[in-house]
Amino acid sequence: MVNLGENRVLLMGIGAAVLLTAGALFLTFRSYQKAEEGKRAIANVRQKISEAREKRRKIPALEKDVIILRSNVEEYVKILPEDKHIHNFINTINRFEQESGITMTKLDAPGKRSTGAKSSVAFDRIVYKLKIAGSLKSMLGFINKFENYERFVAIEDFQFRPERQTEDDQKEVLLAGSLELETYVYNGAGGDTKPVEIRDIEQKREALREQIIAQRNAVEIHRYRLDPVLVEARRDLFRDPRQTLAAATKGGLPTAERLEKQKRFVAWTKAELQEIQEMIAAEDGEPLIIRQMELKKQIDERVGNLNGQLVAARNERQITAAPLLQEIERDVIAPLERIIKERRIAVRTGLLAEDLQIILGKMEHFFQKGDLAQVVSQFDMVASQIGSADTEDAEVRRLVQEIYALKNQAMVITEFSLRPIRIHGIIAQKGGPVAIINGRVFEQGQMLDGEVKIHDIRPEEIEFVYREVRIVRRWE
Amino acid sequence: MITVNLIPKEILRKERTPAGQFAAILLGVLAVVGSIAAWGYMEFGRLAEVESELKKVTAELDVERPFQLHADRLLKEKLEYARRTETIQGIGAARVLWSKKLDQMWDVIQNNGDSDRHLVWLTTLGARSPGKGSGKTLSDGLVNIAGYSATDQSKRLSNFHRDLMESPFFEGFSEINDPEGSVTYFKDDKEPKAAWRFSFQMRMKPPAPPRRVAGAKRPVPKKAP
Repeated sequence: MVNLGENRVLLMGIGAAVLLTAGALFLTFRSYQKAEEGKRAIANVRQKISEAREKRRKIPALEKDVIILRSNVEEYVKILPEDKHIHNFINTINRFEQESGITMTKLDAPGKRSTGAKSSVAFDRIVYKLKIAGSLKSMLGFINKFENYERFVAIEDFQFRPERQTEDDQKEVLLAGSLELETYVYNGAGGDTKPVEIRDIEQKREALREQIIAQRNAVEIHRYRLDPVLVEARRDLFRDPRQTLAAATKGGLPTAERLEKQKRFVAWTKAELQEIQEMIAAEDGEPLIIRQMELKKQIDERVGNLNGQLVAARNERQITAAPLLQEIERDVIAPLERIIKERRIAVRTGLLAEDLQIILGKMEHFFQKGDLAQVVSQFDMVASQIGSADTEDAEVRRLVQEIYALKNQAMVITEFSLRPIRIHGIIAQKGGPVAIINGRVFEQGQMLDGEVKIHDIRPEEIEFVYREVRIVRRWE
Repeated sequence: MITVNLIPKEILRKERTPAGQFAAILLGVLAVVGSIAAWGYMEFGRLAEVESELKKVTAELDVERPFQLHADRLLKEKLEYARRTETIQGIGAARVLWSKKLDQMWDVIQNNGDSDRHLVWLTTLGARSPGKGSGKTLSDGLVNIAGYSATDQSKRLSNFHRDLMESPFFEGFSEINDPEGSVTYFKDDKEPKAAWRFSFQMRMKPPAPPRRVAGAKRPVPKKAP
């Protein structure tokens, strides 16, 4: 019996030993597994550290790229209006309308859009739709102004068709048209990315200045300058160029022969200029002073004569073919002007009284029609020549003064039309009529603001005085 | 025979543990001690070492993390600004200078004042710029002109058509419809009394997308709601 007990103890002991051993081995295995996992984790973290250090090494190059790109984008987008400037765009459209001579009858502005940091995109596309009227030349001028504007504007769509023939049907056809203008607003704070803070960015930008400039030429905005001489010389494309037999042979010459005549005139001016240049070369090499003086006199006379012919041809629009105009400008007029300047020849570049009368007549014609932009445009075409007109002559002086006065009047009326003056009503009463303007009541003789005076109130119109010019505005 | 041992227990010499039993006990003890020792080594030696190393490298990673974040943000910004550069390049390159096109077309119609080759005037003029962007289906640009070509000679209309195609104006266009039309007789007293009425449509391909700026991120197309 004793043996039985001891055996039992022994067995229990062995059993306990086995259990303990198994337990310890199990825990050992667990620890081993954890250690192995830990090693894998260490390897993983080391890999991440290596990647992070690789990225860290790239930071200077990335900062450099970002600084260059940021600087250049900031420069590129100067051609785009900022959000706060877009309101000025309407004023710009209005200014171009005035300068080109078209009339804008409708403007559809874009609807509501998100602005600034609220916008989710960096570039907001904006489209304006216009309805306009004017001649093809003025439409072309209007489009060209946008394409040469300092801010980026594209013409997306346009349609022109004749509305009616102008009263003077030798000139231009009035067109009705529609136009779509496209521009973009840049939201620097918009888009997916907020600017990363870079330490000492200004010093770094300065150090990278050359590289910034070297990489800047990626964006080209093409522009196009119209040649005003050519534009003015060409016939209107919408005008029926066919003529009656009498008109076709006006002056005794059909169209083809007129062209020949123009070509002969250009050839003559070129030949004349060449002879003058040869005489100048001969003068330079002439040893005798008397002969030099003779040559000088002849040269001056011929230069004066050639210049007079050219001025007359220009004023009477004798040259209408565009290439001939270019040729004469380039090959004759420009070199002749250089000769006149170098030799200080006192030629009569100013306009004669007859010329001034024609110019004044045209300006008055456009003024009566209400085409103020054309009044100013006519003046601009000859402004430099008017400046050098011979004002010793009383008649010339009078005409020059009238021309300036008319031009100024047109400009003042144009400025006045841009002022926000709205006539709500005119009331006739015992003490004298009153007018309701911009929501306020005014009597005759009162100042509307610091510059506009209400000179006379009539039943259906009001006469204002603005910068010494009387302007009548009807109450509608 | 029954054996009774009357010797008191104190005097009785103890019997030895049997060898097998002893060995078993010894083995058991060794096994227990050994396994516990192994566990102790693994747990407090190897594993502790590994955990310590892991803590160390994790701390190193935490030191690098801000730089990694900075680098990631810089890369993202670089891609965004490269994309903006591409966008504005595209905006600039895609613009058609219509005043230049009209000027060139005017030169063709004006034809240096020579009306023998053709004498044309217009009744409608319209244009639409080609589509922009990097999508696959961009619309073509279009120019439509309609008008008259004086005299009833179709040759003059054909001359005008050819001059248009051979002029600088036609640069950028891919096609124009063939010269066709119908003769109109005018009842006025102007000469010539007849003219071909025509209508030309010209197509302009969208411009090639601008050269990709290095690193520019391709814009993700927006999904429809």
